[in-house]
Amino acid sequence: MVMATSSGTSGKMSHVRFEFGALMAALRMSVKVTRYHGIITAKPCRYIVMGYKPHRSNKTAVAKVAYLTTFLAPALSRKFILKHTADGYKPDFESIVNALKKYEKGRAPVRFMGFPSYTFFLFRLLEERGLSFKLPKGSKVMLGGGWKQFYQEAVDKATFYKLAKKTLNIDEENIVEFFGAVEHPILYTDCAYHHFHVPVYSKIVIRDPDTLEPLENGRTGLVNLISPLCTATPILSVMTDDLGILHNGEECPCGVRSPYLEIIGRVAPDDIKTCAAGAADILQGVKV
Amino acid sequence: MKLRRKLFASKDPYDCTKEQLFLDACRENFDHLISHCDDYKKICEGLGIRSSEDIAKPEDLPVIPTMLSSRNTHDADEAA
Ligand SMILES: [Zn+2]
Repeated sequence: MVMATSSGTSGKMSHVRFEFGALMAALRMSVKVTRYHGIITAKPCRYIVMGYKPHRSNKTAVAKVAYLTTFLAPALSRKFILKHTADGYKPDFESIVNALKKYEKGRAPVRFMGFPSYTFFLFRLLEERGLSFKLPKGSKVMLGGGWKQFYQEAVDKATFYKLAKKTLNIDEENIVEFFGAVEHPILYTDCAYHHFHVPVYSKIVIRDPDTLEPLENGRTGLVNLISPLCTATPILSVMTDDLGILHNGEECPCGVRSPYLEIIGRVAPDDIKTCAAGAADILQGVKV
Repeated sequence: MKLRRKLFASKDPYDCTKEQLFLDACRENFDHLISHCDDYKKICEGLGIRSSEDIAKPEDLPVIPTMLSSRNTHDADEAA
């Protein structure tokens, strides 16, 4: 039995237990999905984890998943932005900037993995300093852990993609985002058009916030996530406080026919931070 | 959890032809939960859902708020 804990950056933590069968099913799913999206490769690369450096005190799922992601291609090295200190985790942007200066001269692709907020903050820091890097071919930015607390920044993903190109020379097609939650540990990976299609392992129902009746595709409502992955915790069908829209798969030109989810916000706005407040939090670090 | 194993062994992660298998795997999971988790069973009974036969589609599964579901765990050692 394994316990997973949500990041709890908003102060609310969830604990979910997974039995062996669920872990095996999750492993199969992860291999199939990442292979489908071309993320599993044999070419060694350098990882920059825009998240936590593993530490025995950190039980969060997001830290474990980010670390596991560094095994999708053989790792030549791993650098972490959030380092454990006596006062909790602190970001170390300077070590990442120095690593980029070194990696730019090498041949191995660089893979970023982690929180969109920290990655975005790094891009802005590089831009402010007038720094830009030409990272080796095959370099990728992989995002996970959610934009949840930074919806106001996330509104403009086009800016994110433009900054990735400007500061790291990474094209939009090499930016991959993952979505998932401790209470619904299904791996959603965005397609070439940045849509989160629903995989075969789950189903998403959008419900009317007042009546909880299912809504047809294209309408906004509460996001209800369903998956038979886990039996040790009753997370078969869970209601989130996210607001989203389910679109018909045919609306996306990528070829995947399953519907895709667009998260547009959260019912409880107290967790949502403004751009400036979010940046202050980023510099301050986090306690887990 | 035979049906879960079958579902998660699907070759194409976006195969749209597995809807019945998905529903059956959800029913299998539901039957396990109501026989191992008293709180879950009480919630389901309160909603008038007593067995997987009452579930005709995934939308019929009892919906649990995330904070509540993640506070209730139980042993399911034989689950695999
Ligand atoms: Zn698509």
